[in-house]
Amino acid sequence: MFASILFFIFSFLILASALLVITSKNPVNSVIFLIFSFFNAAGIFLIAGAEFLALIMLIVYVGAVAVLFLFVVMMLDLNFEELNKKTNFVKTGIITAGILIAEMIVLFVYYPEEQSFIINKNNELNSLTNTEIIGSKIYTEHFYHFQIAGLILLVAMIGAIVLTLRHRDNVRRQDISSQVSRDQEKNVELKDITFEESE
Amino acid sequence: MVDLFESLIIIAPELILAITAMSLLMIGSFYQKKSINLINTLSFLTLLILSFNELIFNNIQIFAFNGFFIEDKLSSFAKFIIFLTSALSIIMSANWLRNYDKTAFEFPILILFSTLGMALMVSANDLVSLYLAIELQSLPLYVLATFNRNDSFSSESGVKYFILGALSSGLLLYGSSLIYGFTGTIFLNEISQLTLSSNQLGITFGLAFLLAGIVFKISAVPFHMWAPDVYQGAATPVTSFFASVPKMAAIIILIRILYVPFDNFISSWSQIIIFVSFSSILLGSVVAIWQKNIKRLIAYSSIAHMGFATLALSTGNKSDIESILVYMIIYIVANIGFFSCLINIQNKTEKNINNISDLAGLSVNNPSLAISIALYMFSFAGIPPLAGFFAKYYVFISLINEGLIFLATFALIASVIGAFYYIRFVKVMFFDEVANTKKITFSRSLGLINSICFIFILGFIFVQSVTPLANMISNATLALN
Repeated sequence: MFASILFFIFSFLILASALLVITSKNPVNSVIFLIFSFFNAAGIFLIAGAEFLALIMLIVYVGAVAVLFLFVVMMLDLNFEELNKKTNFVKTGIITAGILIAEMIVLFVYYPEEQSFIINKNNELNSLTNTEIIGSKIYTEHFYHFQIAGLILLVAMIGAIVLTLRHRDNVRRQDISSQVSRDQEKNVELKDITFEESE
Repeated sequence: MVDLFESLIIIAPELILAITAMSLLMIGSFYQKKSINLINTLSFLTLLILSFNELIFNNIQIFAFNGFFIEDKLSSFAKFIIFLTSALSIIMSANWLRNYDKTAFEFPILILFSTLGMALMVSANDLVSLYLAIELQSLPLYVLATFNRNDSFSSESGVKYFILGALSSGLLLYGSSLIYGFTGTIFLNEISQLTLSSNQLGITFGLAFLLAGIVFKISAVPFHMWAPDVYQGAATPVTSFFASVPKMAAIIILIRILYVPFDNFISSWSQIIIFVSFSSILLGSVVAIWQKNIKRLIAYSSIAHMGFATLALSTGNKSDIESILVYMIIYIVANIGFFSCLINIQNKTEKNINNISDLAGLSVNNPSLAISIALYMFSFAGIPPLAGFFAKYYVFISLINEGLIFLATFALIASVIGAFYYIRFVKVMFFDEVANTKKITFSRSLGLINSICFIFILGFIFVQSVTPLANMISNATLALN
């Protein structure tokens, strides 16, 4: 009972803050509301007993992604007056959302049966914590997925370098090997200076 | 650990591809300018050898890595086509790349990674590896679309592709999570046994979202919006890659998703597929009439072709997969042939060739180029002795056999409308006033690719009877039974 009340509170807050993300005029406010909805999603994970996911959610989304968003929003030179103008997208969006909701209602009428989610619990794992299970599964059974994920990260790195690295000809770069290999004979010129007596 | 060793042998082609890509990356970053020819050649050869490897060693049905990876005749056949067309794409881009930037050795490596993603995609046997493979396939594509950084169109196309691609991945993940939630398994073959005893509503929801994610990848209506902009903005060799290889992988995974886990849901998904193919054919045929840009027109044409290919899926009969595979092969060959001509023209002329009207007088400047393009256009339109006719013929036959006469009639009318803009190419090349009379020569590699495609399209009946192609396609079709 308590858990379901919490669930409704959290999901209401997620929906409300998600609505505010797309309706608020100031992009910084949008990002703050996005962070708030992440917090509530973490709360829902906690209710479901997935404490590892909840904390990962906070660390990755709030700690990294949202901060990155804030950076981008602050660095962009946005024209707020331009943003506040009403566009046609609202109308199109409402029409599309209306069609989607209508389709969902039709489906619910078409399949009135009530069946719950299948909970596929593996009893031998019950003695372990979530974090231990994820760790042991991901490096053994799901080794294949883990490797593909690694390749995806490699591709993301290559992509970022390809799209942003530019070689300019007139830039002077530090060439460490030539600096180290300098020696006295080539680079230092010794001259005998003759002193002329001043009159 | 014996199991792991066996799995590694089954996955050997993909493993070799991944290791080659990573070692070429090392070579490229140490030798920069000197290495671009070496990297191009090595990646071409690797893909070629791997594609023939798929042709020779193909298994009936083997699972690897605890059942996450499936190797059967369908995936072997798809990999053969994917590796071969990727190899051709690398050759076709070589000249352009040398003119564009000699230090851009990442181009063939990105193609290798994308090909690896497609190979894993057609072999995916669970929802997680399906998602990961789709991501591995599409991330390099976003970068390739933006590769021509100095062109604002190219940057725009990359950003558009990336954002819409991320959206489609989100839809796909949402659908996967619903299916996992209601069946309790991620394995495609286990889902099919559990669908009937689970919540039908939840699975239908999940299926719709999953299909939306995959339909985005084949750029069929209603998820087609990215295609014209991306095709126009990307460099021509990249467009040629986009228009051929990823479509094959996405069509194969669409077939696998529909017939393996959702075999019992034919009545649900055939409505979706009929809508998708119906609207793709209509939009692709009608909107293309107003297009002036060549690559934009090819984008709409590919939307229409994807509509025709998925049309044969709507019957819900497993034996109709054969006509989809035939359609895809003919579509890919004609596309490669057409783009080899277009890339050749763009490489050899200083003026930008972007619009159809720029092709005026091609029949004077280089008759063989003009005749080739005309042949591919006739094939796209479906004129009888050419391969494109047989592609459409098989699809129509499978529709009529299932009693879907209305759909077949509609597709026939739409293909007649589409013939208009294909034949306009011929009119511009042969009958319009000549703007300049500078001769265009064929470069050796592009000429070779073009002549192979030309022979395939012109003599499809003979090719079909001489080569083991028909046999391979029917084997691939039987793999799902």
